[in-house]
Amino acid sequence: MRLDSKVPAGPIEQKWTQHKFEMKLVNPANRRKYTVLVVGTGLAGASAAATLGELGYNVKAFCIQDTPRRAHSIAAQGGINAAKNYQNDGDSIYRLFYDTVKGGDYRSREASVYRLAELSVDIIDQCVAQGVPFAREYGGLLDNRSFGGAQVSRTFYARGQTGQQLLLGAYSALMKEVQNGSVTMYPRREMLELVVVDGRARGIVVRNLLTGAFESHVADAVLLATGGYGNVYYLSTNAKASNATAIWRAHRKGAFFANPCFTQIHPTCIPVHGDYQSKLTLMSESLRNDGRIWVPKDPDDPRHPNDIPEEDRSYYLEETYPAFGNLVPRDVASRKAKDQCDKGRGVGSTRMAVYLDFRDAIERLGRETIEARYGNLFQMYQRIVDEDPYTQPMMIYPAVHYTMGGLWVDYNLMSNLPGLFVAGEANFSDHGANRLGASALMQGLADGYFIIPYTMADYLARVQPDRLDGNHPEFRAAEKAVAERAHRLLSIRGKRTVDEIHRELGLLAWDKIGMSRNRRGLEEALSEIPAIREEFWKNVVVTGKNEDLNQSLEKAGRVADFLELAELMAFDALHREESCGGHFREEYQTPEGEAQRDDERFAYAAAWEHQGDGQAAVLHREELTFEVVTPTQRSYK
Amino acid sequence: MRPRGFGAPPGRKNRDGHMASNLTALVKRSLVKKQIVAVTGIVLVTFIFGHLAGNFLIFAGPEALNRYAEKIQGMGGFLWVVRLGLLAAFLTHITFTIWVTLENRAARGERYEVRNTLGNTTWAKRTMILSGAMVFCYVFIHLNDFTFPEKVGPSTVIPGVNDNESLGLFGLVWNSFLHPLRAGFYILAVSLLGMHLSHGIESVFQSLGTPLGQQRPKLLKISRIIGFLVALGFSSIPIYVIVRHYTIGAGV
Amino acid sequence: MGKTMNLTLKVWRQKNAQSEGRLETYALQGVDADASFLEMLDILNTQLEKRGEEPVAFEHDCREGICGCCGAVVNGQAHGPLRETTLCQLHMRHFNDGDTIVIEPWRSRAFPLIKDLVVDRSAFDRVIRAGGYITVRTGSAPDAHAIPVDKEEADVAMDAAQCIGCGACVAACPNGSAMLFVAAKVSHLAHLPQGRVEANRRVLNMVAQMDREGFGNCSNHYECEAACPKAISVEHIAKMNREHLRAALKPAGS
Repeated sequence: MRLDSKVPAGPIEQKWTQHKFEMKLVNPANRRKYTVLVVGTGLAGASAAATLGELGYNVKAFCIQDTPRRAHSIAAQGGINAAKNYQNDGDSIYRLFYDTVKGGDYRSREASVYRLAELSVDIIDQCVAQGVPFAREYGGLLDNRSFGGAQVSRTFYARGQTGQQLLLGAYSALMKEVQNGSVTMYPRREMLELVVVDGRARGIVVRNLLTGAFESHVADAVLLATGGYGNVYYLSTNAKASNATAIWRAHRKGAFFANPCFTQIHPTCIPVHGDYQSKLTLMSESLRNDGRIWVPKDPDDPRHPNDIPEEDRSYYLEETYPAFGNLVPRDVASRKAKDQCDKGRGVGSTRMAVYLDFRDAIERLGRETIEARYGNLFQMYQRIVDEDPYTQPMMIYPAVHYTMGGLWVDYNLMSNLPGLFVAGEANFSDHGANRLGASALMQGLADGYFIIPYTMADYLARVQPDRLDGNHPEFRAAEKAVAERAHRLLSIRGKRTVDEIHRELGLLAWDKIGMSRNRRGLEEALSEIPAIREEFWKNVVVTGKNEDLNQSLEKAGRVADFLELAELMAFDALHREESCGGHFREEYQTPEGEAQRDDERFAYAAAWEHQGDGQAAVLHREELTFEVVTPTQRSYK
Repeated sequence: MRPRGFGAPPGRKNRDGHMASNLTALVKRSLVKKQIVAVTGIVLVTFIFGHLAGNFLIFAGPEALNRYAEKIQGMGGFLWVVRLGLLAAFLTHITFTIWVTLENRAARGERYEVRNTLGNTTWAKRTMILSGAMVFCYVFIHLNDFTFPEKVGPSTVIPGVNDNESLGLFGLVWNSFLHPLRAGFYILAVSLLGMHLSHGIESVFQSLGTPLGQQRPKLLKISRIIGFLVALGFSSIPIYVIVRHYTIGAGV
Repeated sequence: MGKTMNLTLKVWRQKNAQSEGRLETYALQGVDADASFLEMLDILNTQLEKRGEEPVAFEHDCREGICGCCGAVVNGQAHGPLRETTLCQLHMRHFNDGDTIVIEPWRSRAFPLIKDLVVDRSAFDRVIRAGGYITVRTGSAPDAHAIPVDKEEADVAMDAAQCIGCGACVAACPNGSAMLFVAAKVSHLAHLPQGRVEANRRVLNMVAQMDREGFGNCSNHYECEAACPKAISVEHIAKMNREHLRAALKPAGS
């Protein structure tokens, strides 16, 4: 099947404007005749649902938590990029576009990234109008900070809680539409199946997490904004409930899954400390603005970090990358930390950590300034590690954070299944093989506020609103399938808990599909994952019943899907015989140990088509053409 | 059980921001109830301050106190306006606090098996309704002791003082406080009143929305000090009477 | 591995709102002092599941103190003994070996119990729905710099906006009042020029909804502030009282 990205013709600066004009519209009086389902209420979902509601469509929004305000977008700390150039430091839409394409190691779609940069400025305007309390200067205007992979200060922030404030802004817009009656909210619902009728996505089956009832919802279009799949690794910075079930179920129903192996390992997380540990905590990348990363030159230096003098410290990022220093992109910073630890220079009890030191910044700016900038992060660190980062360096180590891969979508954010749209982290777009800091919030909101409302209208205008019945055989069959699956999980009554098996999968994935990969490891993963999957279906224990709040059953369903997705990740990683961004194949590196791309063979997005259980997925390529930016070996030196 | 979800959009009336211009609806609002309690509280506190200041005239002797009492009595109609106003404030204060307390009990729902303060609430705060109720009961005793009786006759005579002539209100008070049970009750009641005010005064500022910022801890302290001083001020009178009676005597 | 401890847990178990609940006692051995409170509950649940018993239902998601899902009353204190800390950020090192820990759900009439430690906090959403937003359509916003905002006002707005909607304020309040939650949103928006336009309408509607949900009245105990993981000040309650007074006194149509 030929993948048509539907990128409009014309110069890159005019593509979106021209496309907006050319797309079809739905007459305001007709909009309420169309029902749209929005699954997930993070930044992308909430903003899309609110905006579609404002426009007058009949919107139903679903979330797994008790309220849309809890979506994991809330945990984003550092900020959101926008090419406002308020700092007069040379920023522009073009530069943000360029930085993002380069940061993604030339594995993203140029036209989409340009549109993202273009829309970034509108997002800030929108959020300020909603009352998002961004940091300001004394003149009353907005403040900015810098982030990895950029040499300008273009990141807007609200202390260390930017994601929270943006999400609460989108949530309030959503609540406004719920109040107006245009959006109906369905909290505590988990999407377990996509329903495709006559080749079009026509609805979903959700499980009511309180009653266990399987409910069918019919629609004219479905938008998935269900986030990423980082929890394949068990330990990640994702929230515990973050899962891939919605997109994986859609994939099994025919939606292509693109670049599953593109996962992002975030360099500044609190290191792992025990086997009971349930998640990893991120320390915002913004810390790298003022913190300096180092390890002792002597791996066996017994001294307290404060007693190690300058000459015995190795500021390895500043030494290797003088231009970007501590602000190199995430993939580079993570890999270098791993290198240091692999060389035995790691610190802390597990020797799997490096120092992030604020001593110099505190000397230069004063404790107060540092407190104002990062107070809540320092507090969080102190809480977890029980050490005071104001008086001694933090210890950090990389952790799984974000997944650039996701369902394949065209320029209109529609998957290969007509009527199935995918937004935010759940889709594969925009970030290529590595996402730059402060870009996820930007993408989620651009998708939800400014892209989906146009492109979905264009789709809806081309289909007639028809009243499909919830009793349609496809819906009945889907309900039956999910009920059977729940029943099967509950009837195994084995000996191992869901978490135990999930942890086993996570360790394997971290080892073999983690920060660096090689052929042997990937081949091992491909043989071991099916074994774990088999063990799961034979020996897992899920107590309780379906007709109740049953958190074990919820987890079990999600892990069952992770066990399938992990295999596709390994499969994709094995097939991509190059290194790019977050995908680092040890066989393909430059003499200096940097990622070595192979643009001849792999300048494409790999979109996988599900073929049924036990059968290899089929690859479809979306060739990436670079008309504006010339791919080069990324250099941050 | 179905998730309660988000319900249907409320009707036009609820969405109308000016529904509150309807007075009955307005006083039912939780915030407004508390503000009514606060405003009536201000009236009562003002009275208490005035009352205390008047009471202090006892230290100046019978003549000063009685002259003050007569002056008040002589106000005639105006006195009744003040009295009725006070009564109204008092009854409103009580009605609303009872109302609020009942609602709060209901809102709390099932009790905790184990309950520990997080450090901000105090005994005085938790027992406002009780201290208030006790002060309320005492007011009747108080009125019965000092306000209703005629200020002549044997109860106003302090034996051996001023040729056994009536000393009016002064005598009434003096004799009354020599009675240990009455003095004891009085001290207990004004202590409860002080405790009530130690939270009440601060609460007035909060309920009426005074921006305090950094000064908030100071207000808490001041409120407690005032409560203590009110209790001390009122208590000083029976103590003074008893101490003086058994030392130098009531003779002027 | 840090030091470990043995604990006796008394956990509120209740099948659903209709059935009776009670405190169940569980012994837990060898809990790492560096584990978080929720990880300690995970360990308990693993043991229960292995015995074929139903695990304790409790809400949690981000486990980094920002989503507002988690929360329980620990030894009579909402989110446990540490100030400015959600349950997920509370670590076992703040307890002692041999301790008995009593764990109960948020209790308030406006938060009906669902199961074990899980309660229904949808009342909060309905309060926000009633006016906790600025009415602005997507795409209609002026340039972000069109309205300068006093930095100090913006900082106060941010202080209030940090609310994570966990419900600890309600749980800790002797009156089951939601004043701190509602005030945080009212104050956040009232401190910004964008939010002033519909400030009167907002505060009237949100307070009316708060009352309809059956939350108690504020009697200024300030336990909410002490329980708030984001240390939101009761100063914002004063602000709401002021805003409401002004709005209520403003005659209709003026």
